[in-house]
Amino acid sequence: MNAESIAPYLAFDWTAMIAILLMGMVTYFTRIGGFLMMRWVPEGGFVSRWLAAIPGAVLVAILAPTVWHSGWLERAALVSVAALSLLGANPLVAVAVGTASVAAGRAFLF
Amino acid sequence: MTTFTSSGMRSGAVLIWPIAVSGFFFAVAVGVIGRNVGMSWIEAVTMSGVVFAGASQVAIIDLWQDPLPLLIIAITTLGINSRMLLMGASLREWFAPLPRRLTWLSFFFLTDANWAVAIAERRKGSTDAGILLGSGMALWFSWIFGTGLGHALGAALDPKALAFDVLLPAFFVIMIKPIWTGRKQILPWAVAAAGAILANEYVPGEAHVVIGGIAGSLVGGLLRER
Repeated sequence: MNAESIAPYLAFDWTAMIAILLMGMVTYFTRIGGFLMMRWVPEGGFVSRWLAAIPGAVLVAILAPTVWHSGWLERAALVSVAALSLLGANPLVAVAVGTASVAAGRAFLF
Repeated sequence: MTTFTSSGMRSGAVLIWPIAVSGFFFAVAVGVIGRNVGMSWIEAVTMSGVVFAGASQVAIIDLWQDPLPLLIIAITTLGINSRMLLMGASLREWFAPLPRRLTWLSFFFLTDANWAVAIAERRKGSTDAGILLGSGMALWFSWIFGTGLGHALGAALDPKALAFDVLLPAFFVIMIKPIWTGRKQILPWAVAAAGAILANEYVPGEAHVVIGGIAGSLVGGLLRER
């Protein structure tokens, strides 16, 4: 490898780096925040129930519009990923099967 | 009782080893999808090194566009990673007797997998808090190497033909199972889904994640244990 072939790998955008550092700071806060603050949050109260409900709600909020707007092939693949995962398949295998079946569908059906 | 030794760190790294291997392959996929949305190699690798939280990275890669919605990125990251507040709280009694610097360092490497491993060892009677740091560092190295490799490999692949666009939602689908705790979540999740779909139709930008997430989680918080 010479310098020109490495250069694109190391190129970066300052806004992207700021976004990444922002994510890093927020994430580190969630890592130490529980240790620092949770003694003030009563167990089983509204705040702790709300906190416990956030990650699932956020994941669903990310996923729902994508599923809403995707085609039947993609939807069928995502349903089979969910089914495989619920049946106890290795998560990576479930993702690989879902992605591969869409790839195969695109190659043979269209 | 709390101790912190390098042999504890080593045993943490040994215990986490199978999870680190599967984490490596997840990181390869994260590198591939990062490249797919236009992140450079150094951006993808830096994100894995600095953030080191897969679910939030996949979510933000989904929002990666020009211009980057910084506020939405911060709030979404906070929402997804807020689960770690509860993990950190559960480690409080174990880490409180240690020098603070060791705690701040160990908690940088706190993530779902090594929290579960460390808590399991604690329940078996271990006092050695080094387990969390050792297992976390093992995950961190495999996560960074996997991301770098995945991004580099992505150059040789055709994203549309290989359905890389499906990788991202497929990741979210498999994250549902560990978060699902029972039927009590049906209503909050339905509210989150409806809120996100409506916001996606009628609110400009990427606010649907925040709107659906807040609406759904508030409903979840308001539901009482029965």
